[in-house]
Amino acid sequence: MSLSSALNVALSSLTATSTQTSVLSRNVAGADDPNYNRKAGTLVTTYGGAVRIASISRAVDSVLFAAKLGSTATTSGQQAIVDALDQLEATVDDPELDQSLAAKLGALTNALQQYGVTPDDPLLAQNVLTKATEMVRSLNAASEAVRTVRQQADADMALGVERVNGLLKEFEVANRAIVKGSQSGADITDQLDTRDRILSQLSEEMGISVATRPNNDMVIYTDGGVTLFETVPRSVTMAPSFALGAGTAGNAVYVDGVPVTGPNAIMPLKSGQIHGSAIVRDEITVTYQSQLDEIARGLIEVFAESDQTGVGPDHAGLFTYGPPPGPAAIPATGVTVAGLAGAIRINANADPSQGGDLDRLRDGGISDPLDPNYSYNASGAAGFPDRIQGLLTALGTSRNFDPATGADPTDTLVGFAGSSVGWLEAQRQTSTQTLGYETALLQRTTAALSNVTGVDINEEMTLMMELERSFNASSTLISTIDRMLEALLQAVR
Amino acid sequence: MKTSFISNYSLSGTLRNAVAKARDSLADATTESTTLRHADIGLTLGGSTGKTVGLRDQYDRLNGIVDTNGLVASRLEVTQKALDGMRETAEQFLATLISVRDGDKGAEVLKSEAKNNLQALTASLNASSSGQFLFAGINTQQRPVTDYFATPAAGNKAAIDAAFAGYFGFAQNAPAVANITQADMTTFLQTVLPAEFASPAWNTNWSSALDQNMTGRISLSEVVEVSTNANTQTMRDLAMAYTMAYDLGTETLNTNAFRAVVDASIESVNKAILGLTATQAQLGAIEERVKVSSERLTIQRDIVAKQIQAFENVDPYEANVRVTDLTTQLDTAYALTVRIQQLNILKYMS
Repeated sequence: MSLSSALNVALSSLTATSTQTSVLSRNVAGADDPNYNRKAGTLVTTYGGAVRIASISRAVDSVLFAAKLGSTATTSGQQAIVDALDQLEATVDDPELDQSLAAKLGALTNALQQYGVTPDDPLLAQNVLTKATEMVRSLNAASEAVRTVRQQADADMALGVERVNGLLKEFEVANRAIVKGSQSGADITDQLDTRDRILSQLSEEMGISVATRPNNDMVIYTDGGVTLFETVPRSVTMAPSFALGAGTAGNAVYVDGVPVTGPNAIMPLKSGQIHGSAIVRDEITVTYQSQLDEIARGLIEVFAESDQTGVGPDHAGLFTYGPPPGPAAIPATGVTVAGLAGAIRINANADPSQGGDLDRLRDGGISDPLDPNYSYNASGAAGFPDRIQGLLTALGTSRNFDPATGADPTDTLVGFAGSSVGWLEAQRQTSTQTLGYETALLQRTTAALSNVTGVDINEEMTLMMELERSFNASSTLISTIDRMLEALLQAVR
Repeated sequence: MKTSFISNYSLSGTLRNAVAKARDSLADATTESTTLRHADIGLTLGGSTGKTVGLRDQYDRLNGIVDTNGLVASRLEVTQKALDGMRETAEQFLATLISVRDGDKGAEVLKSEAKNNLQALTASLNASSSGQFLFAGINTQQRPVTDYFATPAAGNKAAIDAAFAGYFGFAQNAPAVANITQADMTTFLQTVLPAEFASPAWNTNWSSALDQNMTGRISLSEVVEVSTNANTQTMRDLAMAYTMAYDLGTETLNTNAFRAVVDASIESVNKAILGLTATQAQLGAIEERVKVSSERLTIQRDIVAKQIQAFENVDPYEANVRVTDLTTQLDTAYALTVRIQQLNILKYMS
């Protein structure tokens, strides 16, 4: 019966066309979804020339997708570093505003210079004290800012770990549906989209690479090579640190029991937000903190008071640290004392508001007013300039700093503070430039991937016109065949 | 059937990214064209930011020293003026002494001039500038020289009286003064009186000044003495010359003893004048050093200012051109966005 077979074929065309139209409208709906991949119905010709949609295919480009995953991870890692450096830069600000530690130190030096010319003027002594207090406050504030950034980075890592665990759980559901659907031959394209979206989100937190196994089963590895997902999620853990003081190391992130951040990482992460935050927490802030600590130590060293009889050890003078009573010892030169920038304070013995005496700025004896050996001014004269000139000379003298700080290890105190600014800004410049490059790369990769896998509404509309024509033709065919059959039946009657 | 195409998402994304980037740059360029400095100094200069911070510190430091040098110079000037006055008075006194010795003037004239001069010397040595006693050494908050004419009698007056009475056995206003021989007076003038003007008597009775002079840092590395004090030999000689002419019973002494006093006073004043000249020369040299240092520091400061500008400033022409360029670019991007949004097949389908 060739007429009825023609009818069958026309009917199959109608079915196929409507299925394709439904696929097309899905495409249009997903046109603005960055994680939507274009779908297409695959037509096959069956027995007798009928057509049917064998499966729904999905536009993919695994190379570009892997590149996008890598680029996303690198960009978000770099972003974390740049954000932290921008926050740290608040301790420097525009050089014109004189907010940096080097500028505060310069203000203190100038106050001393004025005081040195008129050592009997209590107003100038007060000015020295004010500038010294400001210096201490800036150091404390900078140290606090570093601690905050560090704490924030630690919290970001913990959040990242939490998000990774959540995404992996979601991934497990999607992956299981895909494996099941692949085995049964169902339409799994939407689940594949979901899985790719989860991978994109996962790559924001840590760098990943993927491998596909039979039945579209997927395995995820970190970019360091640790298995993150295989059939079931592996555990990602990090104990958050509640108090991250200077000199305290943060907890490492473990994937499947393997440390992936910190100095003990065997298979370390190479990108992603967690990696970037780890760099901030374990390297950048630690180095910057050590620079601040060295500036504080340098201050204590410069303002140290020595025993005028040459017997006792030097004591911390105007700038001191530790519990208030009793003179504090001078820390060893050239070795960072962790947390000193946060602990440094003005010695109460020089501060009238705390029961001290301003004249001790000129005479010495701030460390221990009861010990006359630490007083420089034996005559008690109001114009005694030697101690102040001695301090100015010490401020202008090159001294040794911890080379591990990354700033100039042999310089004057203010020179060291300046080189610390240079270090920070150099880091910031390099990181920001890298971020700019990585962002551009990510945009290019995303655009390229979208051009391969995304939806163009114009094309879908053109396709729709084709489908409309085909539907019209098939419908006309059916009515024509119907008329032919009717004619045949008329003839038979 | 597939040809290469551009997806809706990437098309709008490309436009969006381009616009966002241009807007960012425009914000920076606007800041730069108004402030004429880099919008973000740290980001632009990177590691060199440490250098501009250092240069700014150097600039402030040099400025600070130039300021304090002004103060030091004004103090030196006041000191010089005081020394000038002392020297002129001493020279006049020398003339009087010579004319008295020659018999042109009487002892009363000498005595009253000596009194005036001693008062003037005390006033000069007690001169202060902005709250500091200039001749007190580093003991700047204490009036250095005791007033010889204070009532009740001050330590220096009492000590001279005691020395006189101890040596001769009577006071300066006793009639017996007329009987002092020239030899006795000479011995007194050579042995007893100088001890009153030497340490430790000088430091107890006459002066609370300290020998250590004020110092000042007049450049980054130069620390110099910027004052003289009341304890120098010159000041002691001067005080001794005036005191002996005034308070050794000058008006009652016989001619020979009086001659001895006048001779001794001439010797002291002569020494003092030489000493004053030397001190003035020395302070003059320091004044010159301060001046030269200030000039040098000012030049340095201006150079540093130029270096800071070289680091931090932008070319105003370039900044303006960038603003114009970016505005045009943004205009184009917006116009393009509208056009591309209109390019849609739906408009042509019926």
